[in-house]
Amino acid sequence: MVSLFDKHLITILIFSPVFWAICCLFFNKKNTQLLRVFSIIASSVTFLLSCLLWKRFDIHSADIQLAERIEWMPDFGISYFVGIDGLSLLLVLLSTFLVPIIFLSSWNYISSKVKAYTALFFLLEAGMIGAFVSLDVFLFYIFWEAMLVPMFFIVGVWGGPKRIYAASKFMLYTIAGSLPMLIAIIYLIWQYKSQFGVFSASIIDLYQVSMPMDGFFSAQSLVFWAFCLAFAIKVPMFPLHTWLPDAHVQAPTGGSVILAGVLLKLGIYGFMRFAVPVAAEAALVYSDFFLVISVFAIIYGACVAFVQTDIKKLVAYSSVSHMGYIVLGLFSFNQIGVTGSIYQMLSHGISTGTLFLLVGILYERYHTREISVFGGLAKLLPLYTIVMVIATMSSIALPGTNGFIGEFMILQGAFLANWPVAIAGGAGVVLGAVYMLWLCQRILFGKLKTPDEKVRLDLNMREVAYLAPMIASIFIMGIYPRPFIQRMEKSVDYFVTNGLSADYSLNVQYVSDLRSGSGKKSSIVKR
Amino acid sequence: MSSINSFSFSISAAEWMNLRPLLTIGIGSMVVLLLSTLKTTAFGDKRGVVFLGALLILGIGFAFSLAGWSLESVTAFNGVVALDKFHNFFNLFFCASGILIVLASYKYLEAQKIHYSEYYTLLLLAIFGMMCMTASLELITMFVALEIMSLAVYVLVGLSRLDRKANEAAVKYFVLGGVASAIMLYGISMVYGALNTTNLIDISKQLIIGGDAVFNPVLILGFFMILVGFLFKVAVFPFHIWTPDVYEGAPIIVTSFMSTVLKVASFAAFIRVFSLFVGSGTLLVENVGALSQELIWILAVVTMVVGNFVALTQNNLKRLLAYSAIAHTGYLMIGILVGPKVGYSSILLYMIPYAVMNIGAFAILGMISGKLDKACKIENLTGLGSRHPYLAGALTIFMLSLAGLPPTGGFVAKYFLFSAALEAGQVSISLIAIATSLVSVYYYIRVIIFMYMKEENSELSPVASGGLAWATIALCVWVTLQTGIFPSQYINLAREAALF
Repeated sequence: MVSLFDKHLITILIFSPVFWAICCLFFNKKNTQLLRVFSIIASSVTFLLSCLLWKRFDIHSADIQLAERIEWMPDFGISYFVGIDGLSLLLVLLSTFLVPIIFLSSWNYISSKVKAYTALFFLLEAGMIGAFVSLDVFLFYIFWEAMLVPMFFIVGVWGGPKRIYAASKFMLYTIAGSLPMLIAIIYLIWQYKSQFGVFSASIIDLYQVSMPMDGFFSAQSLVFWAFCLAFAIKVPMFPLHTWLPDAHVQAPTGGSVILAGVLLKLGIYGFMRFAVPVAAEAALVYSDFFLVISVFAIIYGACVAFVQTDIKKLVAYSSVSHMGYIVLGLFSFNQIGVTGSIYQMLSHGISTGTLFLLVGILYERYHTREISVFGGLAKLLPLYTIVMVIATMSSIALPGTNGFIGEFMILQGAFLANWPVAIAGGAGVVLGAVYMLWLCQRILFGKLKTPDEKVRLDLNMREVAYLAPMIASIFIMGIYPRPFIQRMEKSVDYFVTNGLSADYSLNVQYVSDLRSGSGKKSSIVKR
Repeated sequence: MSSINSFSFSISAAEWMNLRPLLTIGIGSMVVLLLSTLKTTAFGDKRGVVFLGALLILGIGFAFSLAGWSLESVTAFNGVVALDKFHNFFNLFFCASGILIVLASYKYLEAQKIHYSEYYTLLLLAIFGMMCMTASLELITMFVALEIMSLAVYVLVGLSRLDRKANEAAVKYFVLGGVASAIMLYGISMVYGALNTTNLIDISKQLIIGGDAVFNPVLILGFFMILVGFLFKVAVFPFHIWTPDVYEGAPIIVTSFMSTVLKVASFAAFIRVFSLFVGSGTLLVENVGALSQELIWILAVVTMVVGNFVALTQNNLKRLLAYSAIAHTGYLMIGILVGPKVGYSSILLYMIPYAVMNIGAFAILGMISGKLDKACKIENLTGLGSRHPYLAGALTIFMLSLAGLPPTGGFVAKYFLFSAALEAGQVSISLIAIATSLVSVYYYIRVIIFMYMKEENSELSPVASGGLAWATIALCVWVTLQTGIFPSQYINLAREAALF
């Protein structure tokens, strides 16, 4: 028998943070220590729940697994439909992995309105998980938008001096992208209705919708671009990236980590799950455009990062550059490129997350992020320096770190797809090394110089405690990538072989069909 | 004609059953009027008694409407009124919103020192007028009902009679409303002149049959004049000019009544008339129908644009909500454009969250605005987030819902509205609506920004009223979220009601 717990594992995973958020409201305002401890324990519980997904996940299948479907608005084909496959599993894990770390890192940094901060972060987590596991476009849209509000508050309430500007910009940019997507979603649902006679908002059904593709103003192309606009703003891709540095610089450390670590990945995930398979012809037609623009983003991001005087802004622009690689890998549309793309999403989440945490640590001590005021920190903060160097190495894709695996695979994939683009992308790797190493050289080495002579604290136990898992995963993923790649392999394979053809369809394994002992029975969605 | 000459009619049992909500409110308003003439009562303050009486009557009306949902639709009084699901939907709607507003009124009116017991009578009379209006199948009946509603509201606007702004608003509204009513009545008389009837069913029959009368320019002129009357009531550009001033001058609680219940009632009558004029006649669809569709398309677009862009510059929350109401009128006009069934059901669905989020927002405003609504400036919201976290939280939910963000009712309403528009092939107007609602996000989140993110600098006036206004806010939050997360029953309600 399948227990109730197993049956609703994903639902429990989505709504456990909501439950924690409600719990937060009952804490005494004065007793913030207790609340902090609670937040760390509760988010760890959610992480452990997500580890169950890892365990239950069948690596030999490209199907949607552990799916759950409940009718919601049956007259309009809208259902609560969630499930995971190789594309989403690891991203869910990344989200739940980062949240406890963020809570630990915000221990001192967030001193006002801790209750609200904690509750909002839990809501944000629920939104992220929900967006990754939703297989119903309506449900996806709800999570996608609902996620905005906590992030808006996190940047706007606990952010830096220009936080209101940054928060509003973030909000408006994202909504500007998602409203056209909403129209595209509604259009798709109606097209499905007119082609198949019934309503359905399940993305697996919507893959079947056939739309004409001839020229930019044909239906398929417009749907594709409507989705792309939403996802490209989130990624963010080159001309639409201007909200990112503002949001990153103003956001509190935790906000930056989750923004770089997970929210940006949602854009890429959206391409993989929605934009590309729904409008496959359009995706193929315009893939060259995306390849070129992503290479441009790689180089542009690197160049802009190079001239920054603020460490956080530098890391933010490095994100623009790194996200360029991930788009490059995705739009090369071959096994190795897409695998690299997903892998790089994880490693970028961890390496950039670590960098933001480190910037936050520095800021907590010296209340500035200017590069020019620091120098020779290696003498003062040896432990900090070690972690910083490791994170930098991961960021510039040194072999042995997770960044190497991802970028190597992406460039390999890009070579197969379009070699001139890949060469240009390779040049970006060099640029990336230049600005990151130069940053390290300026602040860590050379003559000792700090804004405040009295502050000479190296990492304390708490900081070590939350940096250690990050560093460990940098090395684990760098040295032994197999378990991760194994889990995405089948899905990616299926995605690249079928995702771009008209008859892309995913099988769904509902949990209720599973019988322990008798193996897994898959129920195939019709059509 | 014979039916008009002979005034004898009988009321069947089925009609009685369907008339219950209407009679409850009609008779109830008179009872409340009588109660309010008492000098003293055995139970203390007469206003308390009147308040409870009004609440009770609305409650009974709501219960009767709910009980009447499963009844057969009938037409009563020789086909003058249609007691159908459409009518009943609005009965439910008016009684429920009336309860919400009455609950929020007591403490507010007390704090403003304008707690006259006539307020409740007028409110009930307005609701009675609205109920008649949604039922009427006859232009004259509709006009009389409209006037019952309007006259009551003219007085309500000027309720705070020592305030110059309120007086200005009342006079403005009365004069302009009078002109609009006159135009509408003139239009009705022209229609009567052309078709020799004011019964909507007869009119639509004649339009389907066609003939010379249909091409009579007087008919077409009359139709457009009736249209103008409705466009004024629902505040569509360019007939929206009165809205911000009147909304600003009126007491907040009356503003909330006007921007939600009155607007919805006008839309209901609008739908009733417009669907019979345009939806039924084949000939008219080709001629006037196409023209009026184009006209409505343009007006809807301009209304959305004007409402949203002007709202961007508002610093007075009442005016901000007034312009946001204009913008929402523009969205609702898309539903009119889409037409029967899908379009109308999406309008009906839209109205539920629209009403609760506005009533809720105004109720909160009523709690924090000081004497004479002085504190309606957006700056006065600074620090609300930390001083009154629950109020601020509720206002945040209402603002997000007004902006159409999930998981709130505002999103679901917009989703189904756009869905209806796309089904009908109205792509361009949907895109414009999308673009303008992006603009609207900015001014709605501005309210949130002021509540949570600005430094506190002003001494916010203390919470004026607690008590029952909290019930209003709690109910509004509940319905806003319920329509956002579990909208199925509301969707069904709206779909059934739109099949008339």
